[in-house]
Amino acid sequence: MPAHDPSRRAFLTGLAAAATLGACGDGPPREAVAYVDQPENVIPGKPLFFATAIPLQGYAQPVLAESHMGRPTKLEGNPRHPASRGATDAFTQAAVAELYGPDRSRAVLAGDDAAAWADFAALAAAAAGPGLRILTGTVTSPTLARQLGMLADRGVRWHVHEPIATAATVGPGIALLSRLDRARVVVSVGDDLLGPGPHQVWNVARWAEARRRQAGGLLLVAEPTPTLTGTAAADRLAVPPSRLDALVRAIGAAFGVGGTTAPSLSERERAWVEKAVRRMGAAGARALLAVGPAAGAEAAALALAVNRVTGALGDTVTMIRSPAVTPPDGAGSFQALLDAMQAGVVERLLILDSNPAYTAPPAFRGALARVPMRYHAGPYRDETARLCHWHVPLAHALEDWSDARAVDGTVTVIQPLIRPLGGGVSAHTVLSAFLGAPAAPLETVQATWRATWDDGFEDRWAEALREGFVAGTDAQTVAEIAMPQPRETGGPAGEGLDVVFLPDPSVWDGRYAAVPWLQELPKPLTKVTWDNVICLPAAQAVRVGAGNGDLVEVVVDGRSVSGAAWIMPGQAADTLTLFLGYGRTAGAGLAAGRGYDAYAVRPDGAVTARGATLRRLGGASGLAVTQLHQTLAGRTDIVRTVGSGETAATDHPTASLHPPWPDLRPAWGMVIDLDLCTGCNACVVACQMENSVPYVGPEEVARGRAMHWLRVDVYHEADGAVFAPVPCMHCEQAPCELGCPVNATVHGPDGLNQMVYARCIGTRTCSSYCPWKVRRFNFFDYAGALPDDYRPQRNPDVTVRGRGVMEKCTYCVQRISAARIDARVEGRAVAEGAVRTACQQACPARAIAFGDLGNPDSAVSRARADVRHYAMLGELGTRPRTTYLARRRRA
Amino acid sequence: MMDAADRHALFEPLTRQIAEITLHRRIRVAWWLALLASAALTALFVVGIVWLFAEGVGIWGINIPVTWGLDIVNAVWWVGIAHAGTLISALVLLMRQTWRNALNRFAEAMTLFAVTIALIFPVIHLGRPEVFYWMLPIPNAAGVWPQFRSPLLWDVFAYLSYFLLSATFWYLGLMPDFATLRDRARARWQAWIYGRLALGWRGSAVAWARWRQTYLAVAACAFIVVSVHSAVAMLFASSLLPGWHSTIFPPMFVVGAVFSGLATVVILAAVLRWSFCLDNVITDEHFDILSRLMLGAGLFTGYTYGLALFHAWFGGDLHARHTVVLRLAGSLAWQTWLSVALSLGVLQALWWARVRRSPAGAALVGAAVVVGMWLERYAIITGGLARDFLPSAWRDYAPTLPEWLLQIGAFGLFCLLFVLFTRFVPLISIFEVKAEAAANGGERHG
Repeated sequence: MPAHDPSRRAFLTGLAAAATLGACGDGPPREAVAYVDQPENVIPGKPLFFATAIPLQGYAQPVLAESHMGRPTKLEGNPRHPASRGATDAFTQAAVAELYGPDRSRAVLAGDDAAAWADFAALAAAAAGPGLRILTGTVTSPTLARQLGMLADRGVRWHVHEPIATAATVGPGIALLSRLDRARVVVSVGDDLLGPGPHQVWNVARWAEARRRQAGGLLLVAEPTPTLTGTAAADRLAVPPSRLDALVRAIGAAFGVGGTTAPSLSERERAWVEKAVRRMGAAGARALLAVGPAAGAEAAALALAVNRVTGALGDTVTMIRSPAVTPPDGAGSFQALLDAMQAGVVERLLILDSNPAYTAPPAFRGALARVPMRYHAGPYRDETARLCHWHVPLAHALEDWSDARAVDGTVTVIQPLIRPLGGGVSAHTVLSAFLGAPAAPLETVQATWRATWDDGFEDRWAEALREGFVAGTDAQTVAEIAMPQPRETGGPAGEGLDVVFLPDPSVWDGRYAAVPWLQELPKPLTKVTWDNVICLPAAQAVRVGAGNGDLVEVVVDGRSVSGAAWIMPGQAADTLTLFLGYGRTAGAGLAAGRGYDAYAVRPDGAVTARGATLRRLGGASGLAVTQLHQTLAGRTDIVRTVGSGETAATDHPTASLHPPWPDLRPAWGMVIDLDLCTGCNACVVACQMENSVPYVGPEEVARGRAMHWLRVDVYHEADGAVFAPVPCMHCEQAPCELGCPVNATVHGPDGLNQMVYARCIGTRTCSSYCPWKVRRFNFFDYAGALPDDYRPQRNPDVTVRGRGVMEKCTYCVQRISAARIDARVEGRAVAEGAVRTACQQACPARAIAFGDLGNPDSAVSRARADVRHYAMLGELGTRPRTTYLARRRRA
Repeated sequence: MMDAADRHALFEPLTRQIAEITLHRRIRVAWWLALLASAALTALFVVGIVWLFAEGVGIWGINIPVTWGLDIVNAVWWVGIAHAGTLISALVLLMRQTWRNALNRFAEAMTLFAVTIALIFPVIHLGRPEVFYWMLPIPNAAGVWPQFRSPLLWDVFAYLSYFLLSATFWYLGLMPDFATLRDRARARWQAWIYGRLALGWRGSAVAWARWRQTYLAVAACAFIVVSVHSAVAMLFASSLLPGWHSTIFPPMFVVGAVFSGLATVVILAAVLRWSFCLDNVITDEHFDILSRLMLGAGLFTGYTYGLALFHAWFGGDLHARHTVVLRLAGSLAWQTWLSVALSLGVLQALWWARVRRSPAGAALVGAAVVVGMWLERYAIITGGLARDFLPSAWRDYAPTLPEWLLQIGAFGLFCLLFVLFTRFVPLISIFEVKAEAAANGGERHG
């Protein structure tokens, strides 16, 4: 037999060998080197925490970042930081997923081609000069400001474009900071104090403090469209945005500020204003009048004057030096750039971490084309990047050094936890390149603080990193300013509808569009995911004959946009709400093309518009909604509201044929205070990040397969919306455990209803039996379908669930286990407060108590002793370990 | 007593008529067409299962809260269909009602095939079907046993024991007829096969006596027919869901199962009688009896519906009352009313003797009942899940293409098994019909 003619046997032998080798993959990495010197403090299995911050629209959200063997996996609020107190918002929770996002830009691009950073740096070094303009978002970073200042010395002009107005400003460099904890009455005219944004954690924490103290009458809100603030209000008035100004003027008139004649008001408006004025008068300096951008500049000036009259200025609201650095042209900064671009005097433009081609008025795109050389540095190759000659991928806040101020001005030094994953470059590096003095971001940031701190730099630097903030850097209060002159605003009421433009509660101005967990985060008041909707009042829906999801067209000033209609309970008459952040064409990952682009009809960055028309188009948009029925359907026992001193508990027989659950300790339990829940969703994302809960995509959400272990139910009732976070109830007599044929869901000794994933065969009986329907099923291999990029984010202490397996809230059992092991090693019982669930930890209102029910002094036991304590569906006799405190009547 | 010649004259035509169908009848084109059609439908079943195992249960329309769809609807409905076979055979045998003899063989076959299909669905509906055997109490190294409180586990036992009982009872009844086929076989292979199946049956008096004892003993075990569907009902009643948590469920499910099973027997009887010209064996009288039974079971089913309504009202539970209102007037009410119209509405035609005694009439009513009872299962299972306690969790369910493939495919598999049965097994119990004839002194019943 010739050698080149193998026998069948030889062939099969070879085949087997090939198959075996093929299964081996590439083998071990060739450059793998074991630790010779163990890195300090790195113990496999033990996470490290680093104090740093995540910027949200420039403002630092202080965090402790959890790192497992060099991989950031979870962010917690920095408990020592006054702007966090240990809590975070939903955006910050999702930042760790954003870090690993596969859609992040990964290469320096010249046009469509990959280029070297060195080429760009060389180009940049030659570019600085009077012909160069720089456009950024809000800048609070002292280092960035210092670099911009150095560039300004070379004639480089800096401009700011921020699509969403968040900080209430009263003059150049002066910001207002509310201190709701001091207030006894807060009157908000279109100001979403508790809604998403840089101020959310700051405000909610302080509002919750006031709310704990005071049951009724704390918050009076007039607003055009329901927000989290309006939902929390004692008395909410739905008014079109064009009426907000009149309300402020009426309040002002009552306090002798502004015009002496009160504007004409409807009966309902007058009743609301009278109530507000009465309460404010009674509260004196403890009253706060907050006015949102929709009310107009004159109203804001009036409100400031009213707060001065009542004495609130300096008490419940203070004027501080704005944490955001004011650009040369102040509020007209962006318009100045636009004018210069249109005039053709801008030769080179660097757009740094901003996406004006999407978020700015359409005129910007045309003007941009007139700039001969355009550079873009941003985290995604977005709409703007595609219009620029050069694109530089920006590093994530967890990837490089920086600094930033929180809303109260306190500086956090941002430290990296991981090297840039995709070759991202720090904004400081980009500016260093333009300064012609390449420097590592660490050097640049340290240089700023070396100059600030005269001596003891090393110690103070180390302390700043350890604490997560620089003590004593909170903004100085400003006692007196030249009062802004009330200007005449607001044109005559025209025909048509009022329009309000709001940032999206889940993807903000669009910058989080590429984070799938945020896309899949149900908007608090609609429970829509992966899309934005056009909110209309019921009367308008009837008029045009549109139901939820039907396509409607809105025309504003001759420009039109079409999107899915949503009938919003509590929407002001003749008012439409458009949400910004959708209709992305680039740099939005999975969300590209979803929803409509409200920027397209937004007049010059305004928050409201008038004279809009609405009509129904044919067809409907398939919305992915997590909660289809949003009324209680008469089941008012589910979410209870009590008056002062009333008990929420109902008498239902507790007799059972089953023996009581043994009195073992610790007996874990959770109490959720519905009175404090604002529906902000921070807990939902925190839970997903902690427990490696995958997103499933809009199609699967629409099929009813969202995986959120913790959901926040919303019920729109006649007197407003109510929220109810629903995790697993961990029933002592759990119906799910009865149903499972294979012992895959069983009871732990400490009262936890446990899921044994490896044992689960997917009969789904447990979910069928669950009266709260909190169980989530892996209909497909959701975790495996996620891009591999997200794998490092998975919590190594949590099992990844495969196809066909049921999962649900575990009370963060991995945290309980860690605490138990620690306690056992030290030979003691698990201490009160040693275990905090991810949802509890994230909650800015501290609405969630968790701990040992066997300890009568624990926070959870005290909450259980409250008269407002009740069990949702407690009458079923399953003895849930998760229970609730009823809402208190707010009027 | 008749002498041997008389007996021969009496029995020979009947024996030949039945045995010929199996042994020598020329296979008609119609049979081949039926085989082909049912095999094609069965292929859809295979496609549905391969698709399912490749992609996962996510290809179905199920969701949270409706975690069970056509899978469990079919598991419940098919095992329900299976009930009439054993009821007619065993219980009526014990009551010495000889009219059963014309019906028991194919009714039992129907039972066996239906239980087989009913057994497939709970396995394939699992998220991880490859480990379905974890539901069985198999000793293992890990020392993990099934969870014996689970109604689902009782279902596993109920289904399996019912399958074993039905198979045993059917086979026992077939032994003497297999011997007849062996004796009348002309081809050697036929004699060999039927001989093996007859287990050496010689027809001796001792053998008959022993056989009789065994047969009655196994028939007595058929009391589990009541427990099988009670266990199925407990899968729902043991939950707390307002649409399910009711003590009426076990009797309601049993009587509903018998009801739909009787309807299936009527349909099959009509089809067989027409296909194989068995007018002399399956008589109008049989249809009359079956129709009366069906009417009785249907009325009893209606009575349990009424009781369920009464319980919801009398119990005073808010959620249970809401569920009733939703069922009768809510968005899912069409399921309820369509089901009631088909099962109980059409049934009323059976008050007329002409309908009862007409194979076509009775079969049409039976078809309506079968579809109506399927819808009832659908409404109870998916509707109960779609609307439970918290409105926030409410969500509807709609079956998807892969589910319909399995739905149609399961029907195809049933037809395939039945078509094969008509060709290879005597579809009427020859010896029992003969015994009945002998007892009646040569007069055929009816």
